[in-house]
Amino acid sequence: MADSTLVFGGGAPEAIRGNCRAFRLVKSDWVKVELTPPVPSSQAFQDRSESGAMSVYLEDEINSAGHSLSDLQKRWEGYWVFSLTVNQLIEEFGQEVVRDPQPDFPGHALVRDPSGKRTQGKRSRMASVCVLVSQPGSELPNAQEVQPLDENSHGTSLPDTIWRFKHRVWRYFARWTGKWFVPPS
Amino acid sequence: MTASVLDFPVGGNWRWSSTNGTQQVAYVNKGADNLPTATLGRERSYGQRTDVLQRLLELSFKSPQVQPYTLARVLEWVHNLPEAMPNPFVATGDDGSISTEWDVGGNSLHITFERDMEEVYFSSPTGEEWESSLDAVDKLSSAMRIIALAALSRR
Repeated sequence: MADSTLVFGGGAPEAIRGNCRAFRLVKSDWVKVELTPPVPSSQAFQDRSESGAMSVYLEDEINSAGHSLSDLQKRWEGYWVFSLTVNQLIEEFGQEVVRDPQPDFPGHALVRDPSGKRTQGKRSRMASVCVLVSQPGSELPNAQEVQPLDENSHGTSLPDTIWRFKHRVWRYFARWTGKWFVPPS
Repeated sequence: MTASVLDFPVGGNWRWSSTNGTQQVAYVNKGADNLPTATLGRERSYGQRTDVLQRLLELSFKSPQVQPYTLARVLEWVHNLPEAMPNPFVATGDDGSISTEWDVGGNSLHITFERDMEEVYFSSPTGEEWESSLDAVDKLSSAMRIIALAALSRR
């Protein structure tokens, strides 16, 4: 499909051009910052359970409303922005793209898989072909937010590690039981 | 959750050591001439995985959608990974699923757990690409071997 082709996304009120960029906002927990360039996890391309779809922001509508990518970044501070074209979403991944205007910021759209659920393969391939557009601030997140690599296990203090691990287990299960247990020291 | 055997040279071991009363984990690299070709069974790598297990708990605590059963399955999976496998990137999804992902040397092995289901995706620079579940033991074992070897060659 040529970039100039008009694509109608599942009954969208306005046509979406195939070369229009769809911006996907990705939280830091989903970004593999140890890779160069950073790449999102396939989890970044899951549907939200509330909408049964994946949210994106379409560049054409952002621009026509007089806004810019930097405005989107300000609205969603702390998020990374990756992009796929509408053409990729529809042609390569067989998705439906539908405009879904929201009052807080222009350009919101929903991406759905016709089968009802995007497969792991599609999510992983989306993660590998999407383009990094911007990242929070000008620097990568600090080292504490970076996922541990195998080499990073060097020098871990055992007593401290066991205490933190134990504490987190108790906190996690306390949430489900509704009680707060004091972890054994 | 049955793929457990990897056939490839072992590059070294993780060891606990004590210095001035403080215990630490350290990687003991074997020399190039001392590389036994081994069939790695369930060589538990608890010390190596502690950071990942903690990260999983931390992420699950932040994600109310994650069910304890899903978390338990992932914890077991990570805990039982063969020692030569590098630590995975882990992430929780908005739908309550949990992923363990490896991206090494152009090879990608992504596994997502959701309740009693799991989805596996593998791709390599050679063009091999498939989707399956953890029941595909042979394919999964082969993919894990590729990831482990790629990680080993980068050390």
